[in-house]
Amino acid sequence: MDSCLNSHIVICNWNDKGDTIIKELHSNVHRNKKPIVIITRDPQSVPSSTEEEYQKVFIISGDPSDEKILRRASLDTADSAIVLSDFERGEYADAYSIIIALAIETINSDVHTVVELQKSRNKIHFKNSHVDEIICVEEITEKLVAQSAISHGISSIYLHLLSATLDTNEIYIIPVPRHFCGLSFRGAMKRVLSDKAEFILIGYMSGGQIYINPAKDESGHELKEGDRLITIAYSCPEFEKKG
Amino acid sequence: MRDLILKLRLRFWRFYSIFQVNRIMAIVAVLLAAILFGSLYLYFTEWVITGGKSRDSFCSLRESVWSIFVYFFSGLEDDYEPATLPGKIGAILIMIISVGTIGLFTGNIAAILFEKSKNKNIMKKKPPKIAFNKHIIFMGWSDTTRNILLMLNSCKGLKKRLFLIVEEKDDIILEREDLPYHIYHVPGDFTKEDALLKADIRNCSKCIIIYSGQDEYNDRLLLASYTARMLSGNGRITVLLHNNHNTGIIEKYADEIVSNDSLIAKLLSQSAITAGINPVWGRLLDPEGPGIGFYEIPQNLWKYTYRDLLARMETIFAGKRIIPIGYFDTRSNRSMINPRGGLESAEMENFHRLIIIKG
Repeated sequence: MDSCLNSHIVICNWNDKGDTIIKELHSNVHRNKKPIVIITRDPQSVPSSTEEEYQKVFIISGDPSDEKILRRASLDTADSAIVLSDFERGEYADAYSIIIALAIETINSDVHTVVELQKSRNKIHFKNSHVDEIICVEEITEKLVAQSAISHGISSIYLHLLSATLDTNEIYIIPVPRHFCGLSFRGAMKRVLSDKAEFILIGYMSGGQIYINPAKDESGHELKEGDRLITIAYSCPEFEKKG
Repeated sequence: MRDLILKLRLRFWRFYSIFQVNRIMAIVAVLLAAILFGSLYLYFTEWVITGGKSRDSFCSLRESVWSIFVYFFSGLEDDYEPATLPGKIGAILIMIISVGTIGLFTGNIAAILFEKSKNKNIMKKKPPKIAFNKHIIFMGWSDTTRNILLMLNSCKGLKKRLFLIVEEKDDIILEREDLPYHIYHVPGDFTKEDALLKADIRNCSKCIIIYSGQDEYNDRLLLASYTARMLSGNGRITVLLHNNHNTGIIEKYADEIVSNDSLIAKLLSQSAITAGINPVWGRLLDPEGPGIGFYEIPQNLWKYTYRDLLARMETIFAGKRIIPIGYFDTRSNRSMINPRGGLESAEMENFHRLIIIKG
């Protein structure tokens, strides 16, 4: 294992979603392709692909809830950790994910931990685990199917926004650029349009709250340092330094 | 006429399901049989065998039936008491049967009335006018189906929409109490033509296929999407897949595929790269939240380019809380989000829809 691994992504467990995750993380749309370390008890299940996306992908055989194994994956210098469900555990897959998440947070509480959860009822057990994001399979798919029942063809738009390729847009959350500070959300939108920027501004985050297409009273909020903009773009928007 | 027939059919299924659950038919049959045989028996023992020397209560078959009715509902009274020993034995048996059967009958009627009051959504509210030709069919029943239904029911635009659930299993009937009144169960296998025709698939606006049983290679989903495609008219077919097996073939028959695996994988990878993106997706996907939608372009704006529409956004969408993010071509089912490379200069036509972030 490369002992100089830094700002890498650790994937705990391996299932059918793993291949898509690797391809998304190492898509050409990302300028800095972060190395990926996969920890799995069944390394044979990881495809030994020669594809470009599988470069800088390392595999460690072992139990991802084992502290020693996590340290071998240089978790203390990792950027993010993804905990996938171990389907071999059956109905206890979520319980095993909680144990892994706790082990990760114990070793490095700064790592951005994302957990795949099968049952929404188990969400409550993650409350005290300091996990940063929980992706609940049930909830997301149910919401998407409901959306597609309301508007025909809408699911393809969501999938488009979720795919990281050079031809598709993604959602990016970026810090408010200095020259946007003091502007209202509507003012910032006008600025984006007049600058013919290559991204679309759809909302902002302030004080831990999310405002997507804010109402009139919310869109009057003056953007300030520390707020973040929610944008749709082909790649992460970058701003020239202005005033 | 067609609507009326379907409406009557649905009413019959609901009525029949109540009978099935409560076994009331069997009880009524036992009751009638007991009255018939009891009255015949007492007529013979009390009148025919004694040569007309017994009480007048059994002087004819008609009088005998009336006497049995009295036994059943008010017990043995002096005027109706049999005089012979076999008659008395028969009367005791009839009274024992009457206590049990009448008890069961009363209990079942009480159960039906209780069920009616419990399902107040179904019974108390006056059903609104339902558009049968725009109904949504759910093929397969699971917790996922139920959660989607409850989500859809909370959407303003779908309040009066009829939902039909095609499913073999009967447990849906038992769970109906927490579902709104315009959701109906169509019993039958959702891969079979007759079940889908019962649900009037030819006139539906959408078929959503959800199957959570054992189907590793999505064979059942494939068969269901094929059958639905062959039978549905203009209805769109959406399939929820749990893995990527046979996706290519299912794609041929379905209009939309929501693949659990790829969706979650994409979301997991986005979350690993951009911190805080998951709650944003949660808000966007919430049917009651500021999600993504389509906006029909008014005729006076046809021939404008997408770029023009954006430039005049302030005046065109004044008073509307929408943010355009691209446009959708309904002919080719292609979406152009944040269009570039000349696509932003395409003139808007009647087949285009703006893709917007709703307020």
